[in-house]
Amino acid sequence: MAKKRQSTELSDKPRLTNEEVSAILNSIADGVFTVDKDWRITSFNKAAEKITGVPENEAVGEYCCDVFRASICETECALHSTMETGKPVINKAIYIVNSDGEKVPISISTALLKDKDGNIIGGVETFRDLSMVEQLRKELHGKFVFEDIVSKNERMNRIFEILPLIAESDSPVLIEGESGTGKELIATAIHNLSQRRDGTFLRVNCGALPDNLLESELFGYKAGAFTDARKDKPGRFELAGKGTILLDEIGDISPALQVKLLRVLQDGTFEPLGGIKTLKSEARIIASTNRRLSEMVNEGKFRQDLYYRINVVKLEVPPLRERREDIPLLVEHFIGKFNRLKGKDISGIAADVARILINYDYPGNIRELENIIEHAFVLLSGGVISKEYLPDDILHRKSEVTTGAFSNVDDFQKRMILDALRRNNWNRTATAKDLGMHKTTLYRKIRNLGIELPARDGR
Amino acid sequence: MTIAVPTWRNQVSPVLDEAENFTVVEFKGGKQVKSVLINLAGKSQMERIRQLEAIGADVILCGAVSNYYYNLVSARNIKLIPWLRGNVSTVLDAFLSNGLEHKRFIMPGCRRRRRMCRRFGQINKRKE
Repeated sequence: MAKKRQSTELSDKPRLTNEEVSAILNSIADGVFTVDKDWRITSFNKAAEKITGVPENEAVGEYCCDVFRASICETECALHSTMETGKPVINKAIYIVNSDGEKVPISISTALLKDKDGNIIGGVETFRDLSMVEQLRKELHGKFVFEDIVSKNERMNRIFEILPLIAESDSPVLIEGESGTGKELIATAIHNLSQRRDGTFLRVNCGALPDNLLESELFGYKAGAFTDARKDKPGRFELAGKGTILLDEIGDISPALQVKLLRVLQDGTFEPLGGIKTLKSEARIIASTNRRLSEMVNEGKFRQDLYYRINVVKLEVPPLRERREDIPLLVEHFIGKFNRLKGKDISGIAADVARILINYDYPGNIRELENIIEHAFVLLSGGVISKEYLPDDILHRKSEVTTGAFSNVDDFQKRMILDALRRNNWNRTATAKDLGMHKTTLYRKIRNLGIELPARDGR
Repeated sequence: MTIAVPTWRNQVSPVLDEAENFTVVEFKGGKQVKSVLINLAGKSQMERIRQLEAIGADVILCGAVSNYYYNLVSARNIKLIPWLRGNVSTVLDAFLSNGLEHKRFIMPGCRRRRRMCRRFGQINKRKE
């Protein structure tokens, strides 16, 4: 009787209309979509549109893998597993590729959808954008990976190609490049790609500490080794354990310390200051410098034997002025990063800003470009970065451009159009749309700028 | 010309970055002379590109691809045509007859403009 009353009460309860369900789904920040038993999407909420970049009207009716584009679609689809076993998947961390080609880290949860008779009619997947969490994690813990190095430059791509092999080996690595070119990022990526990834990654700036302090920092000391040494302090080589140690600005260390370092590199042993026991270092050594160590060797400022010990694998990171094609990518990368970190909504840069940024010489390299974008983020909360939000010195120094810059507006336009044409598979209609100009304007510019198109294009 | 298509259940794989199997088809004089399915599971992304390059792939027809991987592939001598979907042989036929622009071959969300990413696209939306 009680059961019957309960059942009646349930059926008498007012049910939500489809519009009400849709309004609720659209009000939540997590992406939600549902599929039928054929894996076709039956509903797609606003947050799902935002995270994937796919409008609802294009998503509904399509196969979920074509819309969701997740790293697990092919191998271990969570919805598939839920539909087969009936067990929900909760907070599985994966990534999707959104419509802009960005990898978006997300966590997903799945459940079955049943009709009133308990028959399975499909599945529901909810997902949360973890981009901000991931960005913060990287900023806090330096957990940068290979893919955080943004570049389409040929020299950088050669580095990308050998980076996994370098990571697999245990050899010392020397990274040369001007300040701000991303040497530390590369060192971190090598560590995070290597078998030592679960170990510690320690960075020591050899140029920032006086010699005796650097020595105690690297090798540690025993109580009583010097006046203020009240208790033992382990050095970085000991703390690094089986991880990786980055000796940044190695070109700045003194000849005396070079001898001690040579010993660590030769037989992996060292003694803490005031210690009598020899310790063994198992850490991998990566050295970086903004100087040319080979020239320092020739000048007698750096020991040749130490140079050959650290120069087993050498990577030369080109300065930003020699990889200008990366500037647009980096600008977009930093805008995305600061939007996430600072909770702002800046959509891009104005055309004249792009011109200035592409033609600027960047003595401070990528770090300087990042600072330029951050400067704009301080002053602006949304919209497009225009010229007045650039630091004054950039505007004044832009005429000092010398190497590899675009000599005039035509060169710049030619590059932009060629990039867009390649991006759109040489389809001129799509390119014109991409560039926000009329088709005939694009044709005229292609003709006037002497842009050569491939024999078989995307028309 | 040799075309490689990341393949999953006879369809174009949804994400090139994670694709493990590739249908590799060789054409000579407009005729198909070879078609093989190669398995590259367990290989790194770079090794997969190297392997495809080694077997002479000129073109990769694929689904979604991250900007990072797009840049890696584009730096080689392989042309990449992304954001495609559908049955592999149908997509190959459409490519050979210049029919890839049809809506049914383009992934949802990429129809209005076939794009890899916005890049400097925001320049064109400026509010100057």
